Amino acid sequence: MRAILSIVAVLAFACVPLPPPKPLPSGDVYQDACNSMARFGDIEGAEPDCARQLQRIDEAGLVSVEAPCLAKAESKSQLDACYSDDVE
Amino acid sequence: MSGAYGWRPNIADARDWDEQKLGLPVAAPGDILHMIGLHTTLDQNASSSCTGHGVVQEMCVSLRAAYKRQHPEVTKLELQKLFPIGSPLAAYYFGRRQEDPNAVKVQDVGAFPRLVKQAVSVMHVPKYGAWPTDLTKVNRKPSPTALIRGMRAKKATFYFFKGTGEARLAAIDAALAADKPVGFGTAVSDEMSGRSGEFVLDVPRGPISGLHYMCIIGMRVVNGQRQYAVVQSYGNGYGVDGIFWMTDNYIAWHMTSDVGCLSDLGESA
Repeated sequence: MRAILSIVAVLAFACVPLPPPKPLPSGDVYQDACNSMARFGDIEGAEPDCARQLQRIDEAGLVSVEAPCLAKAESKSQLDACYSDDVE
Repeated sequence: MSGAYGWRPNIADARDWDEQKLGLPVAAPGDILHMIGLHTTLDQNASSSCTGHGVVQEMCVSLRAAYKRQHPEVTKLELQKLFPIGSPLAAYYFGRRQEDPNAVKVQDVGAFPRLVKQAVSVMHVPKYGAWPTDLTKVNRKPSPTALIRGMRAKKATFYFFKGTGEARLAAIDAALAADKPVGFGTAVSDEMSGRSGEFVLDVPRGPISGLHYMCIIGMRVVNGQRQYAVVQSYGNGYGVDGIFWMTDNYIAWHMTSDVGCLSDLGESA
């Protein structure tokens, strides 16, 4: 009986669905993020392939560049706050 | 100079590439010292980032050695400019993210070499200057600037040595001869702490004080026994310019594992 309960418990745990991955923003958001970076003094933001590189990083799936947060930043401190893990 | 550690031994995975699957040579004659002096040794300070340090050493020394083979006249300063060391902090962060991408926070509890290398093969590594060591940022995601610079950096794949004992040593020697530094993790005792000048470290006699990841960049034969030149993450003040020597017994020891190389270093897409 204990063995059956263990199997049921394992199956129940295994069947809990993983949360769906966060959808990636559109390409425009990455460009807006780069514009924000450039506006607040980040030279990478002004590089012509900035948006493509940010998108590649998101597509790799390991970390998020928080492009929507970067795109909306109104100051350097808001931009810096987007880097924090707290926003994930 | 630090006494911190941080190696978390890999969990066995039969999918790893190894020297047997790759059909690599396993023999090399005599001293192999051409990579001595091509390193840049940084200090992990109080963090547990030794694995990040070791992996960026593997990458950096390998690139410098391969270039020096083609251009023997190049100076160390020129090599440092051409192939600056990567950010250990970024490599360490990526490795912990690789372990649990859904973690709300990463913690400074050490890293698995396989996961650091897997992450580095996807994210690559920004130069040190893009995400320098700063203990307040050990658990923070690298900035978008650092991430972008990483994506433009060299990429890598990796493999681990399957052999043990003499077979492991022969495989390491062959890798060193082919411009590949060799990363490894092992158990260390307090005998390792605070050493300066040239010394040779043998298997610990005292109690184990931690698990540490390091990088072999050379081999010499003394009285018929191999000794391996090792760099790690305690800065240039440790040993001689960051280098010390370990006996072949230590490298072949059963507590030494996760021995492996980065490979296929190439341009980012």
